[in-house]
Amino acid sequence: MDPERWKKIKLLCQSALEIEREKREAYLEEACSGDESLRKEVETLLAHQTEAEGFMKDPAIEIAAQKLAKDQANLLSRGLIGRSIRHYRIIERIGEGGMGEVFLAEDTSLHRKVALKFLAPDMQQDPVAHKRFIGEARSAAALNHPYICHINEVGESDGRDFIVMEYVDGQTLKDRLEAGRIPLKEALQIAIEIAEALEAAHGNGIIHRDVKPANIMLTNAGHPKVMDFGLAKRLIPPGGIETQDATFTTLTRDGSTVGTLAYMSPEQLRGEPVDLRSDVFSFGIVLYEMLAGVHPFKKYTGAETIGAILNAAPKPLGELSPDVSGILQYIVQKMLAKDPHDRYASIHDVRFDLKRLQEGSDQPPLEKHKRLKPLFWAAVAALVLIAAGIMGFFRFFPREAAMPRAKIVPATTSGGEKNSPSLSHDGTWVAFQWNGEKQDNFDIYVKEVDGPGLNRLTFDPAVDAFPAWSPDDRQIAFVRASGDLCTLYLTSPLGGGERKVAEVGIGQLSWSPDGKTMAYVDRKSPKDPWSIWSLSLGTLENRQMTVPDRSYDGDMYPAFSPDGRYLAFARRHEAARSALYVMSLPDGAPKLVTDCESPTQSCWTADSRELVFHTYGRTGEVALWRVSVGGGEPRRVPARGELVSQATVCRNRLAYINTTDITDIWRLELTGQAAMKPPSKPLVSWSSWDLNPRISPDGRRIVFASTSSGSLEIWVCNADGRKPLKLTDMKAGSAGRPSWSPDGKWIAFDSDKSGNSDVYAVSAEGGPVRQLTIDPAKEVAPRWSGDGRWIYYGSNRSGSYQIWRMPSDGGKPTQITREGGLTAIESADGQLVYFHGYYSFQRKGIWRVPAAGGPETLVLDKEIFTYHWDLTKQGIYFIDQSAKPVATISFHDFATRLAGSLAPVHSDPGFKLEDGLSVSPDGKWLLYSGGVCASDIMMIDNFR
Amino acid sequence: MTVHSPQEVTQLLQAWCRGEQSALDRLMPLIDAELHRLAHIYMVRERPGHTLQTSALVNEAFLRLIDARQVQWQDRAHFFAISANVMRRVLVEFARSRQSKRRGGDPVKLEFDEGLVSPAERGSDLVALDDALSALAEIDPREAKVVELRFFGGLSVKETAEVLKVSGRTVMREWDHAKLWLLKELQRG
Repeated sequence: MDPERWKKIKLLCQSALEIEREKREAYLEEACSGDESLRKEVETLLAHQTEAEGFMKDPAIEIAAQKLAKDQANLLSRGLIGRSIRHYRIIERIGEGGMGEVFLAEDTSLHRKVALKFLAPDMQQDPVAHKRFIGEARSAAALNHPYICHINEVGESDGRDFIVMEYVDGQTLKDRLEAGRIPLKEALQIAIEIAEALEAAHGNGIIHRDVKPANIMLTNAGHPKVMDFGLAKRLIPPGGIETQDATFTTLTRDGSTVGTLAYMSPEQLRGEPVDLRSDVFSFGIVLYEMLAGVHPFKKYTGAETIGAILNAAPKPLGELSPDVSGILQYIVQKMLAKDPHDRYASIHDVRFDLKRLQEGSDQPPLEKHKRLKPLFWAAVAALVLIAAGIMGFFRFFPREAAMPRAKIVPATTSGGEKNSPSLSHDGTWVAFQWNGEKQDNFDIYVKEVDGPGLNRLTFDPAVDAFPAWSPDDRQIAFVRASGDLCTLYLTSPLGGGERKVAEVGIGQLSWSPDGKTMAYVDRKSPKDPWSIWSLSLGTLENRQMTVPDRSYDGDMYPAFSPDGRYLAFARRHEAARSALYVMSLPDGAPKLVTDCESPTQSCWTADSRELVFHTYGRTGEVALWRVSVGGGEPRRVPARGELVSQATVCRNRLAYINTTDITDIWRLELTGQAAMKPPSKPLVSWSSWDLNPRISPDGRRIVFASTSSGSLEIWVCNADGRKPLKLTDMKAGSAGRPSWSPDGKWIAFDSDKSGNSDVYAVSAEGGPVRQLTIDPAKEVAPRWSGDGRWIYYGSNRSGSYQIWRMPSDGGKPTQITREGGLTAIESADGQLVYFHGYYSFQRKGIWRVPAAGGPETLVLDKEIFTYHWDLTKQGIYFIDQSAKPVATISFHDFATRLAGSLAPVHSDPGFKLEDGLSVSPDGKWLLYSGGVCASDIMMIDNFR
Repeated sequence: MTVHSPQEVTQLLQAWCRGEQSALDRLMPLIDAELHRLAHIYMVRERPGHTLQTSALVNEAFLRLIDARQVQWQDRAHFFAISANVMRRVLVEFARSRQSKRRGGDPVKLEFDEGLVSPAERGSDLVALDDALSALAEIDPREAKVVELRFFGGLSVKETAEVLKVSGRTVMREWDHAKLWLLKELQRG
């Protein structure tokens, strides 16, 4: 076909698709202007439109997978359908579960429908599993309750065992939940009925062990029928999944078991013996899911889900479902307690509390009613995954590329910044640098890896860093940095008795395996490059070990190999590029090992054959790697965490630092007793990122962006942080930079959902989201005009970012600035537009231009970030990042034309600011966002 | 069963991409095994974030099969484009091999494959789809690429836009038109 014609047909087709069907014919009539064959071509294509909706909806791999799965199933079913087994005539296959297939059959003697479940072949072969299965089925057959799926009999045919069960016409709770959550009243009733069923079984000494939505049918009348009591496959060997690498990997890889794992209690996952409280936990998950519509612990991979069940607190129900009362939230929370002792002791008690709640009783539940606060668990669980939408670029090397072959246990979980972990030679303690609970001073600490022991070793106000253990683990060396001077000290791991040894250059110590030498970094003069030196601990003589070329920055991060034969170090070429080298002792020539992604700190594996290091690569990739010193390509070390670094190895333990990035919303009082005091606690701390707050025009509510649902979305809540309401669901498209309409009814925001950032609007009470800008350029940071008739925003549609303005319901925009601008706020009287000069034009600071057009003038010449300012009648509030020691909230007064600082943003200089500054309409308080990075020591056992 | 190292697999894959059919014969058992594993996971596990899972799965399969560092990746877009292409070839080969087994007369497979003529299942005949897609590539290479990336690579609209360096809207328009054209082509054949 001639390419021109192709283009024409295609364009017509695409345009026609965007027009309503009724108007299409008229459109084509006009557009084809008489060319009948052209029109016919287009219409033939359009005829497939309905069919096209379902076409290629599922990706090819799913199709291939479905075929394979069907093949496998066909082989079995083919044998059975149509046949009779005793007096049961098999009609069709109705499902398959972890234990075997289920068929619909007719009981020809009683003329009723039954379900026949055949035991899966692998269970059949295993004599232990098989015997237990039959035993359980027999005792379950004794259960007789309206909400329990009855077992009629257990039989055997052709070497295959089967169970004959009551056939339930309806759908599973799992299918029902796929449509979303269940309304409170209904969910409560179903839950009470499920509780009755479980209570009846427990009363007969039968623990279900596999309570999950797939095992609960809902009859057409809406009543539950619990199935498969006590029949659950014993998947977890004693000792738990974590002790056996292969089991762990297989269990979470094998899709059929993942579904079951997601509902297991912590003790089940650990392979411990279970009692009926395990059913309480699993039931709690089901109840949570019924009320919230989401699973409390499920993550993207099985391994992460397990980690969440064992360690993470689920999001409070009240945040996901506003009609869940504090009492109900408490009941579910108690069912989901990790320790069985903290849970309800029996289903009877659960049912009792649920029933009273249903009856509207005012009395508190069996224990004291606790008011739940949204808790934020910073890096507690070993397996936390940030929403892929935010960290999208990390998927260059997908996190699930290689399942971790080792167990990961967080060794420390308190706030503050931790660095330089160092494992003792017997692997039982880890020394590290930490700025403590109050985050005021960096000191050396040691912590017992598998126990509660934590000792603080230094108390000096100077910075203490780089702890290193002596070969006999009796001493710890570290450096104390005071001004430009660094001194080497030795102290005892038990605390006390520190003594000075010598002056060294900069820290980064390594103790030789024979205990006699300490490697450190120093330089002859400020003009010389850094190099590795060795200090004899006996004679205090020092000797230069490496001699980098003068053009280099220098050599740093020395590390002796465990066998004492080599020294590894990083050689830095220029600021960002470095490589790892190894030299044989005492003075061999350094050999390049790798320069992959500029490694710096490295440590040796126990066999002295490989180095482990971390990278912050070109693509933003943050990971741990291992490389053979003989050369070769580095391999990734699977290590969970957001920002992993600073690995240390001892035998088969690997410890490293994981840094998490948290952003919260903070409130500063501008008047009253607490005026200008930087807040000690955030106002909103729901998730990893809560930012860009804006106070409503009546000062009663706030809108902001939060990742609490897993992706960055817009939320509103009351000014005290209560009554949250999620307004958007842009998912991978993200939603940000919300702002209020002057009447407080609408929220405008930007989102990347269409592929290029656009402005959207949504009602502040919730509702459908309207897209206001539709063009291929990027539109960001919308702000309403004072009279609500216009929306200002930044757009690059002219080729560079400028301020534009459009009618507030979308429509033709007008360009406002010429020389660069991104965020704009109109003055209250509508006369002036203040805006932030987009920094790529060297326009830091706030400018203004008359709303009707005119010259652009500089108002505030300060280094201000794009989203760190707000406008009031009296002046401009802004965050001054040039202030020391920490950024301040400052104010520029229009009357005096002077700017002054009001308060520091936080008492911790480590506080990182995020976007957003919003002043209340009465001028009495303001909001901003930011957070302190927290870091934790992570541990991998079984590292080989 | 011989275990192939990732380096060997990479070399085989590269040889196959260059046109050496014999390389494919040696690769097929491996790819088959990999597909079985993926198929099992895919079919049986819950899928909370549907599209996200797919491309992750495809990339995972791809990375497992090859030694990612041996090949020179220009950038992420390049990587995705290549993996979608390889996954297409692999899946189509897989579908083709099952079809030919049919000729061997395995009654089970015959029974299943017969349901392919209904319109709803037209998308499940990967071989025919591949042929149609190749025909499309002759006329409109970019449009065919969109289909390859989305359908075989499992990429989202946004990811596809990134790879091809166009807007999400362009991707959707190409996708919509491609579907219509492919359906027309398949019906004809």
